[in-house]
Amino acid sequence: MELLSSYTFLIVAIGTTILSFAAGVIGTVSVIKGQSLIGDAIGHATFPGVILAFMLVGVTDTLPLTIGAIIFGVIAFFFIQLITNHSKVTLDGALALILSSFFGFGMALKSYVQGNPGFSNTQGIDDYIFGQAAYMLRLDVWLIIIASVASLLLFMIFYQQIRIYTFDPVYSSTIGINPALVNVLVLSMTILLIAVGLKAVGAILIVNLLIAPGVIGLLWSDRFNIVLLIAGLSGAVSAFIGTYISTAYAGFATGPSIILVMSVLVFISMMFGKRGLVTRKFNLRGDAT
Amino acid sequence: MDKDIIKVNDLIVAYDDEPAIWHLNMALKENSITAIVGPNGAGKSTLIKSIMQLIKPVSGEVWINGSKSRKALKEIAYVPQKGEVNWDFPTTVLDVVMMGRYVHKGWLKRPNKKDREIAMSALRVMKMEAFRNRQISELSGGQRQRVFLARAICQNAGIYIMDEPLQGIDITTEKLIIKTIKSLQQEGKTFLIVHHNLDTVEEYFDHAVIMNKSVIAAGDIQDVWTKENIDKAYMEMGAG
Amino acid sequence: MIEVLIVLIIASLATSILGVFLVLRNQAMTTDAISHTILLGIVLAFFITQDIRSPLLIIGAALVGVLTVYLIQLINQTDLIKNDASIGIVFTALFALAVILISRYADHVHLDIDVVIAGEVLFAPLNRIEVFGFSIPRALWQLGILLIVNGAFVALFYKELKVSSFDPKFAYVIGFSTTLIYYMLMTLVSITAVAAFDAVGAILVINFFVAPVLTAYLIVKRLDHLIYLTALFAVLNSTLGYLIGYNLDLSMSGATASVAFIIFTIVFLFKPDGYIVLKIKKRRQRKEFMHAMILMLMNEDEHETVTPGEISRHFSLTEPETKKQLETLEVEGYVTRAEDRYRLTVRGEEFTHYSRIKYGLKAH
Repeated sequence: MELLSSYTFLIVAIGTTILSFAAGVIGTVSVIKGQSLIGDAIGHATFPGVILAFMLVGVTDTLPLTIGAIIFGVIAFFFIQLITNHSKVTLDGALALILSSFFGFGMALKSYVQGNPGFSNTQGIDDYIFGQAAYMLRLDVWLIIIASVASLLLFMIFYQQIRIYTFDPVYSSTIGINPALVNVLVLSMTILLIAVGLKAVGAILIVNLLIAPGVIGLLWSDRFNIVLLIAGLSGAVSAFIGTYISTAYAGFATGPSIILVMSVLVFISMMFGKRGLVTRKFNLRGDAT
Repeated sequence: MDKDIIKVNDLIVAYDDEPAIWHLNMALKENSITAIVGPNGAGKSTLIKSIMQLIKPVSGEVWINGSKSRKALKEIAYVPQKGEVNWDFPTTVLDVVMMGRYVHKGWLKRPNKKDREIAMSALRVMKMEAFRNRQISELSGGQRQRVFLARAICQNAGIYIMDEPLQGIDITTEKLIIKTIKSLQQEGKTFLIVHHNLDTVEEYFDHAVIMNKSVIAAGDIQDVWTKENIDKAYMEMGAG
Repeated sequence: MIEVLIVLIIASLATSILGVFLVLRNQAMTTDAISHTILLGIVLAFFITQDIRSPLLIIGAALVGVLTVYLIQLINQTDLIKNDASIGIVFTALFALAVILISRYADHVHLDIDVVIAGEVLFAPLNRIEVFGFSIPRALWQLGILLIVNGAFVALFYKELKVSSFDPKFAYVIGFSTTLIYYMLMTLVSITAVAAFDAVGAILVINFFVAPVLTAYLIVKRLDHLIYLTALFAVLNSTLGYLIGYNLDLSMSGATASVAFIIFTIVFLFKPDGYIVLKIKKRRQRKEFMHAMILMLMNEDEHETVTPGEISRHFSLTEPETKKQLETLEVEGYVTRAEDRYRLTVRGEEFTHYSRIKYGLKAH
């Protein structure tokens, strides 16, 4: 229990918990729209942005690297839109292409940086691929808090617009909501959260924080506001427990630990949620008698 | 029934280089139930979308209640086609109907008890009261259409615009929707409805707009619903 | 060094031939899932064999690849979670498990996740095998066999693959087992992914599965053409990637994936009905349409002569736009000007006649 008051643990736990709460809430929109893997493509695609930013500033400084990640997240999304809107390539194909090409580009840049004696201290870069929560600085946590709180505030302010738009885009525009604007808003929040969360969970696994909580929420409730609340909370709880495990036991990296806890919650929800497999069995039996 | 509540003047709408609506003039009589009839590709949905300002026309203008501003759209309640909605969205029947109330609220205000009552009475009209806590994905096609009409009623608008509301629904719902529309007409509401089934036009509507890119005939159902006009709309153009 | 290029080419051919059917079935992101989860298979097999060079590792990895597909399908069948979300959840969970297993129990052996993801094809020739007295890279031997197997699979089940990719319902009706075909395909995908990622890394494997196919898919429609063109782009991407990687001393896999995207983008933008041509065409069409509309307006009795002001009001055009349109029309002889009023010429009147027929509008 001593651990709970340790400085490092608190820093990391605060960061991951708040991040996962915000990502859970905002990711739910994409899950409902059937676009959850966009987060995966954008997560991978931030990698070259991180390296390019490093090449420009020469140090693994959180702020410029995060900005690099955001820029490449936006570029990736722009290409996904361009390709799916103007060719017969589907979202599925476009995501796989962007994901692998952008990440590949990042790998090429990284090999250049590592083979070039002009750059030193390149170890920090790998933290952005796999996440290295233990090395999070206070600045990293501040960034996460600012981005998460800002995203959640925006989400609350535009809650009705987002809700009506997600359910019924055409109707939303007839009552004066601009669907394109709401879409951009939700995506900007997603990209922002991915960018600040890279150091905590890494580019490969961050998509889980955007999908799993929403999935859990949808398995327990059919009211949007409650789904969001459950999503946020299950994200936060998983992050806290996951961070605790990773601090207490050697060999448990933070990102993967959070995701394993989250996966256990998904499994429980699939069994015992509102329409869960076990719940279904009981209901059937109840109907029969 | 003499006032024109919507006026469309010389409307031209094109998608890239394909004219969908050509020099269209029409007027919607206040307190009428008006059908929009025409073959596929005649521009019926395009007309509705232009009135709702969802599409920018190449030329021409739309007047709603003597105004061209976006605010005038508040006077219109729109009932969508089924395919436009995300049915996996986690929400209940009552919640969907309450969405109709947001037009009257500031965006930050939460719906109050009165809004709830209005929503409940709209559900009662559509005989969906018992389903109020159902998840929308569990509803049948007819029930979904009833919910959307209830949402429109909640908006408390003067004009209802509906895109094929009777497409693919059960006969009970069809009768109920028509009955509701007629009783709303008694309250002074106006209806503009894209309609597919030519057999029921005379029974359900008192006015009609027969169109194919531009208006073939429009006005009182007795005057315009002739074989000649219908043939004109459904025959290929250009030959004549 | 030439061996490196050959390994790249063979790997790209063996993967992309299956990729054709993955893309057509909208299963491209499943390769993303498989490419990540095979790491778990390698770890588990390593625990059993305790030998990083054991061929069992490949089998274990392929099994977990198939298991991933099966898990995703299983979750989809419960109807509880949307398809794309279940892909995202399954692969992240299995990958997370693999990362923890490695760092907790296998930290002392050389199982570098970084190399698994990024790959290092340069090392492929170092691991050699004797075949019929010749010493060749093990990766080349494995991928070569897989290329033959995959090619034979596509040739043998061409009809079944075609029907079940384009119209699964029809395939079901006429009695193909779409499930069997699907799992055969996905098993080969897993095995090929494992063999290829050993040589080129997980990310390039995903890229090999989809990039050449998508590029070819932009150009051709017929399935057989798609397969040939895919092979062509696979070879092109690998060769260019190899040359760039070699000359600039970059990660071969990274360079190849980047090249693949550049080639896709070039085709996307510049092909005959590509983005740029369509944009130009649309602009021209819009201009022509505006011309036709102005002329048709002037063909109406009440607009026999018009001022530029009337035109710009009618079509909500800006004044310079109107001026430009009218100038063009005047130069081309469709209208004449007297003072500031324009009227149709005979040529202009003829033009409106043809426009009406072209746009399917009734005669005035």
